[in-house]
Amino acid sequence: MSRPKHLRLSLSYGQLLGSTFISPTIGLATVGPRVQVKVGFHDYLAKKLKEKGDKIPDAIVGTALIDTGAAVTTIDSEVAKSLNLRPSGQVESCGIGGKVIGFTVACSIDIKGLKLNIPRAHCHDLTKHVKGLIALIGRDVLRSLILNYDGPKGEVELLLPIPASYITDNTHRLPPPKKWRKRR
Amino acid sequence: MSFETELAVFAQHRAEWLTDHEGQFVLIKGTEYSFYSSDDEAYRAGVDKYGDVDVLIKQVLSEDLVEDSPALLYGLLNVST
Repeated sequence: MSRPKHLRLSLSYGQLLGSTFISPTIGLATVGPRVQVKVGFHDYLAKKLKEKGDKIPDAIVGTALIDTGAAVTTIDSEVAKSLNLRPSGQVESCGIGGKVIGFTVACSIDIKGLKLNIPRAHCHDLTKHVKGLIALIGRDVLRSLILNYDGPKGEVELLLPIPASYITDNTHRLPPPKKWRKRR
Repeated sequence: MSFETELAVFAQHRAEWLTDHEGQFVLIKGTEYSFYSSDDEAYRAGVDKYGDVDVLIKQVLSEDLVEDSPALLYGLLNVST
């Protein structure tokens, strides 16, 4: 059996709102494709700080919206602040409220064990708009993934490439290495 | 915090850098600068040189890139009906 090249992550968006069941089709159309992520330090900085004996803060867990309309990934400013992520650039954002000078930060986004390092993620007040939303995953991250959006079924499938150091959980366990399997 | 010095250095040298470094990423800290082929490489170099501090990483282009984010642009993250 050949080792799979991708982790398949299937997400369905049916939900209970009070006592009303929202079908997956409506759920996906309403909330958009969301996935649980962990936002933390860029791996390279974490490694350097560990070598110095510094403590690395735990990554922050929350919801990310997969936003195919966004060129770059945005993380919540409060998350950046609580992790004490240092700015790696400056950006000028234009919105309905006018021009705002913002910053980019280096960070990592972990989707079910696939960790992607982003040297210049934008920062914005996301949780101010949607409670629990800590990131907008933009096309800079999506260029490493395959996204299948099935509107009629209300399902989203993400195919994540599996790196060598991939650590999985019980839901998405990889087949054990050949040497662990029983000989017949 | 602000990148006043770093942005001034970028503006001052931009035309000159376009000749030899167009498309590369410049790492600027104060008035010091160096060039890299990707922003990740520039970031790693910044960590090696300066540690966990604010640095400016910017691509050397004749104009700044406009990166679209309609959800933020139109403030459409949450609309109650």
